[in-house]
Amino acid sequence: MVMRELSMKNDDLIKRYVDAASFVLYNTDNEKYPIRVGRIAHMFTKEYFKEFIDDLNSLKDLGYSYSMIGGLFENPTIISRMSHHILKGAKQAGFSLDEQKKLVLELISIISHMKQLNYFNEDGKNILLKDKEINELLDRIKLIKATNESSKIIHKLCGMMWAYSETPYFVAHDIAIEEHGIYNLSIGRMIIRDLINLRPTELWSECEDFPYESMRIVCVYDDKYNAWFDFYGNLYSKDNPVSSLISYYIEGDCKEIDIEKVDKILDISSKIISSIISKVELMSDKEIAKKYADIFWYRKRPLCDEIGRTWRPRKKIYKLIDKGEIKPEIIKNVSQKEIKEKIGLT
Amino acid sequence: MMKIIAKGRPASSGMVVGKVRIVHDVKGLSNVKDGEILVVNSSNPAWTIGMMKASGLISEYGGIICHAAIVAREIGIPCVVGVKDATSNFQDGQKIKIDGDEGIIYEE
Repeated sequence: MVMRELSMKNDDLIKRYVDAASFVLYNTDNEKYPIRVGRIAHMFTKEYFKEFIDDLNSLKDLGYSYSMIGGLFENPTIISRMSHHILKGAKQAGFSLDEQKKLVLELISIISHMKQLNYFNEDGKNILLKDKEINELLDRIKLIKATNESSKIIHKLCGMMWAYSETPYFVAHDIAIEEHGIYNLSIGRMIIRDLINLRPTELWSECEDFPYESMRIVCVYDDKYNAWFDFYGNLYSKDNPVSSLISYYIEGDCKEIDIEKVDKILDISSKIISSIISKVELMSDKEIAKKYADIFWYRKRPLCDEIGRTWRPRKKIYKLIDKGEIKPEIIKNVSQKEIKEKIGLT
Repeated sequence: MMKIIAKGRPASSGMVVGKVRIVHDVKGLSNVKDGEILVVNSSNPAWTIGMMKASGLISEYGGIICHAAIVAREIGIPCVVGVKDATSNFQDGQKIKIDGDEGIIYEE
């Protein structure tokens, strides 16, 4: 199988990956909800890595290219964010440094087929759509001129949908949200928030009440609006998005959503979030770890669905968690340099 | 010159003046009034509905990509994180000013 020809040398790509990933990991704090993933993931990342590689190799044996494999996932940030745990698993499995580098280059190659321009968002942009796709989108939808009031509502929706994506998926909220842009257009600066997999009833039954499987929130900001993305798709800005919004469009399951309906979406999202979190608060750390395993395996579900395998973790994974030890909570200030050394590819 | 009463990491830009509302748990969110500045120890997605009413957010824990920071940036309210002992040092009803660009909190 031939990896997509990449314009930069492999060592440079590895360095850029390490720089991009370490920036995000450095700024990731010891968030308590529901438990810091670093305390529990070691119990199953080795098995996760082995199965991920097995899934990947099965698809390659069936003739799938990296482009086709990327196409099975709906968004590239899922690969970016997954890479950290896959690499950890590779280290646990005793992969040599060269093998780890080859693995990361494979993941970068998959990402490269899902994005335009910069694979690591080093220019602050997360560009997924080609010009033709942008034009098709703008031809299909009717952007609505924003007022201060409607802009507040739209951004409350953006905030709530971020929270909704975090709730059923914990740290793996890339399964549910991809924010992309900044698309510099004649009409303004466009950021698209794609929400997918919004009803994971296999993980949480209450998600059935959410009215849409997917949503898209299109926001066009004025030319002064300055925003940027990191490698993991987190959005930053020095400007206020509410006052910068020129126009917007929202849809659910490919049908336009009237702004009058946003309050209902906020309400139902909040109820589902509260229901899930109430359940999580009653779970032991080991039960949360098992749920995390379910979520990790759900993340690579597109590969399993394509092969025709069950996506769920094997019983062995839960037994590993039962026998394993949860790491204690340690709040340690680690520098970005130390994180790079820990990633250890350069 | 305004008195600086606390500092932290700037997490969502903008400036706002408002009254403090300290919230220790999700149940306390029902006390938040529109326009108040929410002061919390940390937050999780269940707190989001309370954030919708707030004009600003201060969190004791968290970095620039914690839940509070990201949601504050999405909804467009100033936020400062890593403000040590904020829930002890501020009082409900206290008038403060948040500078979300510099991570500074002033007494008003």
